[in-house]
Amino acid sequence: MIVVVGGIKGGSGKTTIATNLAVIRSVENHDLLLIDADDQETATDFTILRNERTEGNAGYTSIQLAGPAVRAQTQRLAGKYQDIVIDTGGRDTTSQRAALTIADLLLVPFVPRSFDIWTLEKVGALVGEMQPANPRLKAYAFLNRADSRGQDNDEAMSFLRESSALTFIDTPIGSRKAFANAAAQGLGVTELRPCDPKAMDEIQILYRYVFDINLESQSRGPG
Amino acid sequence: MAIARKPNRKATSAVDVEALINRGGSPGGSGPREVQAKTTPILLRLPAGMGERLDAALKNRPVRLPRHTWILEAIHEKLTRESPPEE
Repeated sequence: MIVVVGGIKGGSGKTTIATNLAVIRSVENHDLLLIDADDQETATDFTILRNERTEGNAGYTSIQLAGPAVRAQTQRLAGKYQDIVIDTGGRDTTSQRAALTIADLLLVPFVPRSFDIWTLEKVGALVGEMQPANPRLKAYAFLNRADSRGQDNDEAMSFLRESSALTFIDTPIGSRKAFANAAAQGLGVTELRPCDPKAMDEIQILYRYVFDINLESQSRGPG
Repeated sequence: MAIARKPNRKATSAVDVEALINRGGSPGGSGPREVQAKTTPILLRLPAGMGERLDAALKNRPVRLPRHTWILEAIHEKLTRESPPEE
């Protein structure tokens, strides 16, 4: 399965989600390729650190691609890996578009803030524009860096549910320091010790949605 | 069989994938790739407390500097001090 973690807003936590999904998938013995298609190259830096900390045993393969090469190279490599996770930057770039032409799933994290929610319409338009080139593309929105309390989460979720282009999945990831602490050590949050049970649960639930539960069949509904 | 059904055109053949992709903005790295290639990313792990000292030094400057620039300047100063340019 080819999973793109994308969107058009910076700072929504795309790389954190992409690297954590990659780590969990690889720990579960799936042959995974992580493609860093973000010019900030943070996923690549994370993998370098992870390889340093694990004596070269990051558990997955990581490469950098940009522009139309994301489509061509991913197509070539798709048969060699069980799963591919592509981390795109927070803009509507040729890299993200190229990824969307060959992806099965687009996961779009949204921070429960107005500036982030305001990009929902444009992300929906991008998905609608790319689907004729890739009819199997399904797009999902979820809350990331959610608040621990307050109304903002609920309000953001109600806006996300309104989108027709993206399906909202109720798998919120809280704004938790554990993600940053884990990343600073080249670890996924599920590997961090002492562990943050809430962070672990949240990312595991998202992971299960993406890889274990067939989102495509869910969104189609019964029959 | 002399008469065959009219062949169906593939729906996706009408989609110019390349044009769709190129409607996106250029990834930041694709333009000045050569410039980027001349830099080497280094993960810097500071001893405990050094980051705070660095931030305090930055805070006390009359003109604010990004931390990255400050570190680059420090490296440049040390390189200049320890390897003076050849005459």
